[in-house]
Formats: sequence, C-alpha cells, structure tokens
Amino acid sequence: MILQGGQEARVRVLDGTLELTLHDRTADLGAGAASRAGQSLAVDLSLRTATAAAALQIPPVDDPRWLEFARGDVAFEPSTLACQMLFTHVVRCVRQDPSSPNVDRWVRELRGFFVKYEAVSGAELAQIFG
Amino acid sequence: MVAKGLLTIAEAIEVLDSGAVAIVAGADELLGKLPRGNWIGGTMRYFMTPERSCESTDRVLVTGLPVAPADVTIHSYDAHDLSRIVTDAPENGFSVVIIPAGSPAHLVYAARAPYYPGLFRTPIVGWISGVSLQELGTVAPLTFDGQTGHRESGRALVMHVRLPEKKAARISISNPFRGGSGDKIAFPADGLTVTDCIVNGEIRNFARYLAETSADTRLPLVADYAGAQVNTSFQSIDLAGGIVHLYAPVFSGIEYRIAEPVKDYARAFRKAVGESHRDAAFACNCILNYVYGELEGKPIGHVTGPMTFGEIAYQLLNQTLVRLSIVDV
Repeated sequence: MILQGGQEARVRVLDGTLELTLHDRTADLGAGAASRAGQSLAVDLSLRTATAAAALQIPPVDDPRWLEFARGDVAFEPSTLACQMLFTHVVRCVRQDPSSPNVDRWVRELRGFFVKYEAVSGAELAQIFG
Repeated sequence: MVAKGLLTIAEAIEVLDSGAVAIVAGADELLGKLPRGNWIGGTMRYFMTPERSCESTDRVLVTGLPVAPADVTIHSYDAHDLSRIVTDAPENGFSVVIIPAGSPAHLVYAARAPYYPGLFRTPIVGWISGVSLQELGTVAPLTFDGQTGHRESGRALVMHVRLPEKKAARISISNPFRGGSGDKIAFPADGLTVTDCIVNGEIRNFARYLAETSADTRLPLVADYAGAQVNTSFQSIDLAGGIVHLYAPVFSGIEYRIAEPVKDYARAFRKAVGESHRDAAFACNCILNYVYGELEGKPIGHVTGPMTFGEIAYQLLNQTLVRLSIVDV
C-alpha cells in the first residue's frame, strides 16, 4: 500500500475484528517534507473495533448465499423501509424469473445496497451470512 | 431557524427571498406569486399541521429544509428518463420528487420505479400534486420550479440535496392500516388497471369479486413487505367492464389483503406517529385519509405537510404518511 500526501487508508487486522487507520500527515507538514533525505514520516495511526458488517466482509456476487437469500430461502427481518421494500421486490422478481441474468441483476442490486449501507447493516448481514 | 408550516404569501415570500431551501405546496394562483428561489412546489390545498388538518386557499405550506443552497440542484424529468432521478441523486443525500397527478411521469413512475437500478439505496421522497376535489378532471395539477419560475403539468420535478459526510437521510412511513383476515389476493400482472386477480389460488375478475364480497373500497389493499405495510388504494370500479382502477399499482408475486377497518383515522395516525421522528425534515400524507377519515379540523400528530394525491417513499404509496429525517451518522 502506498499513501500519497494527506491520504488515509484502512486495513482490517486480527481476522477483521479490528480496523487500523493510517493517515499520512506529510502534506500537513508542508510541501516536500517527505522527500527530504532522512526525514521521518508523519503518520497518524488509530485502531478501532470494526463494525459487524465490516468484520463479515460483504461476499462477492458469485457467493451462493446471495442466491439463497434472493430466492427468499433465508429467514430475514430487515429493519429499514428501504431494505424491506428491496428485499420484497427482489424475492418476487427472482421467483418469477430465475434465469441467470435476472438473478445476477438482482443480486448485484442487493449487494450494492449493503455495500452502501454497510456501516448500519450489521444485523441484516449477520442474518444472511453470519 | 428553518421555516415550516402554513404561511401567508407575504410570509412565504420573506422566507424564500432569504434564500431558504424549501418545498412548497399550495393553490396554483398562490404558487405563481412566489419569488424565484431555491424551492420546488406543487399544487395542493389540503394540509396537515400539528394543530389541525385543513384545506387552505389563502396560505401555502412551506417545508424549509435544513441545507445550504449550494448543496441543492433542481431537475425535471419526462416519463422516459425517470430512472435518471436515481443516477442524478447525490451519493449521500436525498431527493424530493413532485409529479403532477395523471401525468405520463406519474403513471410511469408508479409502475416502473421499483425496477430502477439503485432505487432503494437512494433516499427518495415526494408526492403527487393535485387539485381541489371539486376540480378533479377539469384542472391540471402542476409543479413549480422556483429557480426558473417554470410551471409544468407533465414532468416530474426533483430537488436533489447533498448532505455532509456526517449526516444521512432516513425515510420512514406510518400506516394505520393492516391487512385484514379476509382472502389472500394476488395478481397475475403488475398494473394500475386490473382485470384479473387470484383469490385463494382461483382466478377471478377483480371487479366482480369486490362487488360479490361487498368490499369497502375506501379501505386499501395492504401488502406485507417484510414487515412494512404497503397500501394500494382503489380509484374506481367499472363493474360492467370488469375493470378496477387503482391509485398505485399492484405487483405480481405479492400477496394482498383488504385492510381491516379503521374507526378513527385521526386517533390511528396520532398513535402511529407517536413521538417518533419529531424532527422530520419533510412529511406528506394522503388526500384519501383526509377525506375518508374526515380529518378536516383534526390534528393527527406532530407532523406538517401536504395531503397529496400519492406519496413517494422510494416507490409510490397510497394512504400513508411519509417522513424524511436527517440524522447524524
């Protein structure tokens, strides 16, 4: 991993249960600070507990558990209106047209939803993949 | 202080001239008197406020949004490019949609929105603009673009609002209706206009089924969307033609029941609204609740907004109170 001036990177450590954040403060110290020979790097480190969703790491679209979920074969109690509506439409559309392109289209829709709302979807993701 | 409530024209002009970002509902002749500014509006003259629900032809309902003008863009969309509402929306924010009742955009959004890629990860609220109940079918519902002064009867008007990183939009609904203990009803196809239905596994003509069962069509069809109760309301029944017209589409593959009767709409809404979302940035409710529930003069909780010809919380809803809150994350 290469950090450019002012950038931030996050990596999960200890099986993903902790999240390590590195923030390059070089830019804060002035232009060219890092380029001077022998100059110490300035990096802020922070360590925090990863969210449940982050710890789970949202599976790729070809994970077979998505198909099971999209068919409505997984007991699922969503907690937000958006997720309730999306889940209902996905299940009915997949049941009506279980062709591979259609399933793929709706699995991508589901995954896109959980990627966007990853930070607040821990409970839902645990029901699907936990 | 963000303005919200029924305002005289003079008060509304003062608010909008100050640069406030707002959603405005009111009679056509009143909206036409408002100055250019950071607002969108639609024709509607029935309102809910914490004090009472009412009809007003001399005030407009202003819903000021707690956002900066620089974070707002306004676009209009015709029926063929409505899916761009989703792709034009900010990554973090929300969009408020107003669509004239009966317009091509209204009909297409009703039928197709749930199929738009990304719809449910894009906070979209809004309403269908209408007219006086005495003017139904004779006067066109309108939208107003405050930035351009343009009024429109055929297109959807949308305010896209970007939120800062530490804020997020949350949409919720309050629905006093629950599916009754009657027949399970499904439909072989999506539609706002329905001929056939499937009742307990048997194909029936829906209009005749409703007549034979003496169904109270002031009560909506209710579907359970994984815990969320979603209504579809009846517009009219053509028994001779065997056709039922609905205010929002039914969808194939979803099971519906006719709602249990609600004795006291005002009390039911006050109970459903409760103390939650007291800080809602936006709200709207349904004209059918205003009429069927005889809400004139009655308070229905701590909510302020128009009583509309259709509510939008991602997809088109009926007889439902919709709220949008801006929360810290």
